Amino acid sequence: MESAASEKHEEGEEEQQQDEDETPYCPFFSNSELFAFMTKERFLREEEIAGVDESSFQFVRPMRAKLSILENPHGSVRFWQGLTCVIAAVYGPSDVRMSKELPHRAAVDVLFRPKVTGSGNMSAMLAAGLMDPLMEERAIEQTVVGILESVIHLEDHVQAGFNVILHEIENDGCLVSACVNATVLALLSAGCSLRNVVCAVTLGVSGDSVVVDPCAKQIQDIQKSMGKDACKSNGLLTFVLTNSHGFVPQILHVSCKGRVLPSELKTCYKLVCSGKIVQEVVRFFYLCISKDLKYSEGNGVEKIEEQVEMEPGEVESSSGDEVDEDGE
Amino acid sequence: MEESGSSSIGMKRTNLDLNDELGKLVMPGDEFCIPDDSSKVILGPGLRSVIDKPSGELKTIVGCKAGLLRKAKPNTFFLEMKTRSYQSFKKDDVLGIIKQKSKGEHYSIDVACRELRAQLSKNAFEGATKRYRPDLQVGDCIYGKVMDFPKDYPLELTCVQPSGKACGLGSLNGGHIFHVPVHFVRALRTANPKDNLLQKIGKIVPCETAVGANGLVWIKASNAVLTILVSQLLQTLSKANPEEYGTYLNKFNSTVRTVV
Amino acid sequence: MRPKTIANCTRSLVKGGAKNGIRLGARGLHEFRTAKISFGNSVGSCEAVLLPGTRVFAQASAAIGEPSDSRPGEGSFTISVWVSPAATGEMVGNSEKPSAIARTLERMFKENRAVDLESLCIKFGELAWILRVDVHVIDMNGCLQDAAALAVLGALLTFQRPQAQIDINTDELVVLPLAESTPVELHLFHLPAVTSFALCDDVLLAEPCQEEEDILPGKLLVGVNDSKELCHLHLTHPIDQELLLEATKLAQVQCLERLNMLKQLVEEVKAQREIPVYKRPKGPRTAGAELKLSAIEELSTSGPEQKPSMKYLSPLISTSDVNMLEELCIF
Repeated sequence: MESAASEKHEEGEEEQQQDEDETPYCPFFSNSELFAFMTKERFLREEEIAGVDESSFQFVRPMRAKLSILENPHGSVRFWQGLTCVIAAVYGPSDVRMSKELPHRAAVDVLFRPKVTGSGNMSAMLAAGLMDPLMEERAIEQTVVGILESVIHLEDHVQAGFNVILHEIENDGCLVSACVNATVLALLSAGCSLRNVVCAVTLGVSGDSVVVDPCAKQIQDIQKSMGKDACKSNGLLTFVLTNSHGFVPQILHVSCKGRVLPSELKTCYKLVCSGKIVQEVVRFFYLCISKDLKYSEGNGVEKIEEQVEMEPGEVESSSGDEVDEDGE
Repeated sequence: MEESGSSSIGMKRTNLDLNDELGKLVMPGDEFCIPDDSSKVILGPGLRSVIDKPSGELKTIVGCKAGLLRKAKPNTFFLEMKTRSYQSFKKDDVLGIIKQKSKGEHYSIDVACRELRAQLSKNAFEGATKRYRPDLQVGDCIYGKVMDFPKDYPLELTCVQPSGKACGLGSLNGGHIFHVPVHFVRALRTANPKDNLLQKIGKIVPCETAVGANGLVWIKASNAVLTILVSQLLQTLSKANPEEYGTYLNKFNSTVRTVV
Repeated sequence: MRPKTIANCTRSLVKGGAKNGIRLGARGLHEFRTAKISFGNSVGSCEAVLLPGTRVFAQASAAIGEPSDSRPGEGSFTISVWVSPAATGEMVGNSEKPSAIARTLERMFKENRAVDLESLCIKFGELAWILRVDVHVIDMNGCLQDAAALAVLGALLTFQRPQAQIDINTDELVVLPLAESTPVELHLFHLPAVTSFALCDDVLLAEPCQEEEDILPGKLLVGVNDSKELCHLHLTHPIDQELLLEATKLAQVQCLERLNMLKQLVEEVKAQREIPVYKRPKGPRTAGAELKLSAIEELSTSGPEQKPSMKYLSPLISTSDVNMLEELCIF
């Protein structure tokens, strides 16, 4: 439920005439007519959200994303998973403090900022079931760091750093998986070298039913049922998976919050490894990126046929990481 | 899994052919098979080769970024993305702004990338000797070339070509310097006269330009108004589709007529 | 990447251009930036974007606590500003910018008594609402105070808190949950908004972008509220009297426009909230899919060569490949 409106340009006042010999004064500058060739279109483009057809999400909550919303970072994304919204910004590879520099690879630094900070939040957070807000933030950061260290090609950029900044805009359950997904989208839009595409999904186990990607209300129901019957297992399982070989993904991270029986863990693992959930999420990433890059694809086809000639220095300069030759 | 039906979009694909996938989106982790003919294939940014460690043989070519596969002569494949960050490479022409003038032998340069330690030697100008060297101030723009040092060295620029002459490198006076996203620099620097934007703009407004591979662009037109107009046009074009360039240029043309 | 040092040629271009009525951006000298305001799903969250490139997000929240000793009959109101590394590019925080924004916001909202703090008191001297607004600056391109003020105002206007009262009989605090009672909105005495100008030797530039802010020496912040009263003024450079008056006139027009737009949007949001849940148009699904554990047990797992069936989970799928997964699992 977002309502957005734009304000019309205010017509500026006419500037008084001034005498200047060298640079001629232009009276049109006070209107926006002079620059009408650019402002309107840019405006519209910002509104586009790469939304996929919602019926295509069978398991996970419908996702939406807006890429490159911020001007300063290398890659940025505003990501919705159902109603949970996260803004992720990535600088990479970039400078890093001397104390964090590593001699053999790049360093990864993640910062997570919740919406409401400060001690006034403590009581509300405790009521919501989270233990200690500061620790939760650090836990999310360390989870993401661990995942990124195995996904990004860190050896290519020695003594550099990847900085990831996550902002929680709206928390409607599954914040950790939303953060990981948003980070991956931001990395893809920034053009960092990754080993594979990674996605995260949370499953809520309660008794004999499993909820894929529960919203806050469903999480509360799961936690409430814990009070009733102490023997019943209920917990939240978070999996982070790659879109690897065939359709069986590789697992990068598993964490459990609550109590789960091993057989239930096995069943959840089966569900997740069947590949359908990963497929939904990774398909969404693919469609987002393709929609974002469509803008540069314009005369791509013609360019290929014309065999664009570049200046001789061009090839080496644009080939960054590896210039490799194929032998036999 | 070569079929890209709706069921397998996004999942990792293997055994792709480099030539078949031109113009399509490649995700990190997609594997390509090595072309059978023994021609030399150069891999650009976004693609890397996986070498089987024990035998040293080339196993596969793997995509490591999300981008559209493109081909350039000769037999170079790379992924086209909308990058905003600049990684410094050897022999690149870059624009820089002097940040600090120390008493030693170097100027400290800001190259609009995250590399903090870029340097330009005070002697690296055409015809510079110890007594006579151009005196540059903090805030001057220079157009230099990245020197070919190993990766661990800080970035070093030079304003003189290997032949000893300047050939367009050196300090720039006046005009306006601004930044565009790095992926747009390719469109500005193509040698193809049909596509080259700067030539098209130059027909409308004659101006001196210098384009750095790090995304900084320097424009100098006959007066301040035109300079600012051209810089605004370039910044707009960098965010637009390539198909729309024509319409923007037409509007720009009519605008300039009203000014001059 | 924006270069951090400003080139001399740009400096002279901006200063010379300002004297001739020419600006770096696509605007006239007295043309203000376009503002876009959007509200989030939870109460009290608002995001203000000043095109191009400045984005500020504010979230209001309230908790019950003790009022301060010096003012026992009022609630307290804190504004906390944080400039995100996403905006500056450095992970290490700089404390200049947030403190400047925080100072402006405190002057505008707290010292001018924009919020009615006495209505936040529950029990004199013992219990009161502690109102808190967290401002996050996500993207930075000049005019941070303007965007922050808009965001804070939007957050305060759309914020709702549950009713809390002291039970007469038991003398205990009773907080009625939001779902069961009508939530209470904040009472604001007046709505302030602020616009900024950059000064350069008798020329005013409205709402400068980052480069203009850095290059031009002076800055003027004018705050006007919805009753057309001047409520905030901040100047860093000597200025002519007539120029100051001209600036206040421009600022008044602009602030009123922005406040009207904000009020209109807030009305729309409130009207949408009024609609009972069952009458709202059905949006996309917001809850996860529920499955039975037993149904998953019988799911056929796929080996590397086989594509899984696209049928939705149903107990009719064969279970022959479960053994393969048993080998893969550690259990």
